[in-house]
Amino acid sequence: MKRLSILFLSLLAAALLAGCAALDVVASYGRASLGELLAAHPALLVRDETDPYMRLSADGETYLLVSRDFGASGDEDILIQTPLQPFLDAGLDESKLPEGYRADGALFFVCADYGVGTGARADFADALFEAPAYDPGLLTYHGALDHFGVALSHGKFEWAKDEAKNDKDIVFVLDAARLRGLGADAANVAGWTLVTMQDEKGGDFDVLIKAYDLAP
Amino acid sequence: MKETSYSVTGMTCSACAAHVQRAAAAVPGVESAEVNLAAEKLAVRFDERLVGFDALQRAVEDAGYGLVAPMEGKRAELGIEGMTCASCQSAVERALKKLEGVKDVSVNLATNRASFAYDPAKVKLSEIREAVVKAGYTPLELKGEDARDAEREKREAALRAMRGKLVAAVVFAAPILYIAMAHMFPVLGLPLPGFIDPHRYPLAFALLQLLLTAPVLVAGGRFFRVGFRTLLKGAPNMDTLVAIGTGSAFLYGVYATARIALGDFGFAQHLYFESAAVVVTLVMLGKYLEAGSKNKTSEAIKKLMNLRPKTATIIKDGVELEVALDEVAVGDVALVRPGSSIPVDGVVAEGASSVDESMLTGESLPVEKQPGSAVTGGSINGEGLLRVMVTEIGEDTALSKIIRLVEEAQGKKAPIAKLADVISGYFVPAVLGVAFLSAAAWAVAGRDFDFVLNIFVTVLVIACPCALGLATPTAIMVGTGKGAELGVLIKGGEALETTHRVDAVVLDKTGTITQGKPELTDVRVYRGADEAQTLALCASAERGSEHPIARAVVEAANGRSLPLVQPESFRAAAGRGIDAKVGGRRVLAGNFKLMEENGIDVSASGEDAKTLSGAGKTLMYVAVDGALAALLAAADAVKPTSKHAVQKLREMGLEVYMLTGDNAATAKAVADSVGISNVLCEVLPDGKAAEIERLQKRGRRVAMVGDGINDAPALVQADVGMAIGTGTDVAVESADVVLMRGDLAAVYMAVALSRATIRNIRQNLFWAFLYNVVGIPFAAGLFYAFGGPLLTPVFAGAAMALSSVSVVTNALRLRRFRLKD
Repeated sequence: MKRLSILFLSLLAAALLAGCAALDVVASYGRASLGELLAAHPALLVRDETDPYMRLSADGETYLLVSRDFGASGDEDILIQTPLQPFLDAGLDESKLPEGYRADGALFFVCADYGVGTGARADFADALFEAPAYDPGLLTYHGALDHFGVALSHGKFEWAKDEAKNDKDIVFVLDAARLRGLGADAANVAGWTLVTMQDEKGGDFDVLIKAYDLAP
Repeated sequence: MKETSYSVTGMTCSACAAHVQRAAAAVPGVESAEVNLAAEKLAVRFDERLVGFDALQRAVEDAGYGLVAPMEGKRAELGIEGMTCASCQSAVERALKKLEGVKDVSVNLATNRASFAYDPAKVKLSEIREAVVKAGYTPLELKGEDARDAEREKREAALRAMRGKLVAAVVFAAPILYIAMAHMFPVLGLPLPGFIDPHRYPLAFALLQLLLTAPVLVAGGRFFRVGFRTLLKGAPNMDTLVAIGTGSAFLYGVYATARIALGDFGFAQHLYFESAAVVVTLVMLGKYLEAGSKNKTSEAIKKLMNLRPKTATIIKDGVELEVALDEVAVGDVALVRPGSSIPVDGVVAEGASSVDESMLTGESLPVEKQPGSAVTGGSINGEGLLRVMVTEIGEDTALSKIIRLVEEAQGKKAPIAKLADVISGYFVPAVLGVAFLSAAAWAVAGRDFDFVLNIFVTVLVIACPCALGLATPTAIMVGTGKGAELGVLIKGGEALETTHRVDAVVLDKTGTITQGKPELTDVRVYRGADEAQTLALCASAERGSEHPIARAVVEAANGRSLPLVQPESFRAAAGRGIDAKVGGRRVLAGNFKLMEENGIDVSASGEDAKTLSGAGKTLMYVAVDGALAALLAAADAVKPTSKHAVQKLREMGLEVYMLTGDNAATAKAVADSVGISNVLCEVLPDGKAAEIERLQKRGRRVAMVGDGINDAPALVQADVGMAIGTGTDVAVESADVVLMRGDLAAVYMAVALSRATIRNIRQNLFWAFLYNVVGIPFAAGLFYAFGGPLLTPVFAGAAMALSSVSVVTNALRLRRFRLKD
């Protein structure tokens, strides 16, 4: 039994060390499902080769901006861009915006920095997946909603694993507690829905979401 | 008909025991078969002309278990000096194989040892040594073992192997349990390494658990091997339940892992690997603790065997020789130094000492021994040097008989155990049915596959009948073992069970309540007879009689140095006295009945008889040539502990009777002195059994305590026959309980121990039944259906292991049994 134990422990260690990347099914299926979503809905992407950012939007108001080259975009590699006014109306004090937030004219940005990346990307999904390449923990899978997501500093972008079985095919998520701290009444931000979620430890936290069902 | 017992291997639960029992009983020629799960023994009675060991072994093996061939003779290992090469090795082997009675010879050149089996009846160890010397080598130290030692070695080796596998299982199961707890109970805040975060790396999470579970299932592989084998033979046992339950959990986990690999990450929440791994580990833990406890329950036998020294000092031709115990022969003179153990049974030839016999009889005070005193092998010599003439050796010694008796007792089943057997036989198939039905019911109620599987596995795991099967035999093993320590040898579970139900105790007077060694206290002569002459005549006539009063008369005559002659004729009239011819004169000596039947007028002794019998003395009338010559009186002193013992028996709620052939006055005097009010007197020897039967017809459950040959029928008639150990072999053979101590304290000890043991069995059965009665519906989700909690396989496994352990632990409490005085 001793020999069996030692053998198994050795095999186990070797398998885990060698196979980590191959075992990352969340990354592989996440990448694949985003690709399928974008292929099914090409209109989601704004085509402008001169723009240093690739843009995804379902309503022309709220966007996900992803830098084509993380090395050239400073500390704003991925951003959620949305109209500022609803937040101001809800009481947001834009003079207090900390790092990770930016107000520019009529627009409100939630930004995230993911290092210098691995070079220029032409494909939206490839560019977005530079983030989990930088930090694997940024890529998540939410079982209850069957969503993949990429976390930003104060928010998240999520997409459905299988849009045919989901009524929330893409979702923009903002950290409501943070916004409350900046003076906004999170329950009254027009165009955004306040939702209470549960984290992995079973604790509650509030988010503002804007979800889109892309089904025709 | 042959009655014997064999060791059975492969049994894990009472369902196995029931299966082996049925298989053995079904062999043509077998009259009865009983399996003791705790002792792992099959006791079988069969007609040797029709069936032998091979047929029994085949039947048991076909059932899926093993029957161990009885070891013939003994095994020994002899160190050998002088071997230098392979041809030396062969020479020694040849020399040993040539000896009749020696077989299985194996000589190891590397270790310089020869191991072999030998039949002590055909060859002595000294002859074996001589053969080695003749071959040209030097025999060194000898290490012997008999069947019991070999069995003990095997059990201990098996226990060590179990421990190794258990440790391996724990090493792999502990991390899985941690991972499962961290994942299922996030509120505990147990950190998990990032690379197995079930949300981020569900496949790594699943694979790690699979890889950790597999070695656990290999370590516990026996459950699967035995479980599926017995299932295929149509006799599923507890291993089948564990195998199906944990096997299902593991296979589902493998399926879930495959689904995760295919993108269904939700399966990471429902893997069940921890159920399989932890349940198998817990069951292994339960089995290991059970096996360890079983070894402890037979500690009584180990203790008894350890009383036997390995060597003895024999005096041969004036020279002291230390020899192996096996070399001692009847007639040898053994030297026993102060403080050492007496090696074998014998008679003191020279010297005086006090001997501690407590380990054998439970008697705490050392017993004085002098030339002519019997000593027992295993007792401890006090401060004197003794030379002991050996009278019994080997299996004929008292110690060996006690060990055999205790072993047989532990192998015999109590009636209360048979109930558990019947239930166990149907239990496993019933549980399989319940598991399938409850799973199906929840599936029909709309529950998902996860929930249904949880129910199925939990029912199988929790429904272990092992606690039920262990409840009785473990308590009986400990109880009879404890009894042996206290000098109370109970010959089996049935005797134990009957003893606790006894409500009346009948005590034979002579030798039981009294010392059994009367002394002549009075001689009254009549019609001008000469006292000395009459006593000499009577003693001469009584020389051939074994009766205690007769011996007292002879001793008194010898004490007065009276000349005794051989009677020309002698006839004993049972229960009355003797009729003999001495020196041409007819001598009648006996009780009033004898005189009456022979027309002897005893009126002259009327007053003396009244006075003497009123003092509790036993009377013997002596008539010479048809006329009363003398009245002799003998007093048999009451044992110092008798009165207290009678009081204790009455405090236990028992009716106490005294049974004697004495006349009413004598009997009443003795009874009054010890506090007995129920006296059965003037009972002829062949009337004792009838008196017992009369009491039984009045609804009493009767224990009879006696020591003489004529007590044997009464001992057999009684519900429980108790023989005082210092009594005759016939009484000991006829009795259900042997009281090694000569005093009545052992009687209430026997009853108290029996009550404690039966109480212990009832506690065990209650908890075992309750556990299953509550556990199975709980596992099937009955309480959950009404808003109660749901049991998981892990908790079911823990509860199941706990049930077996708690039953055995409760039985072990009997080791602390003490009589409250």
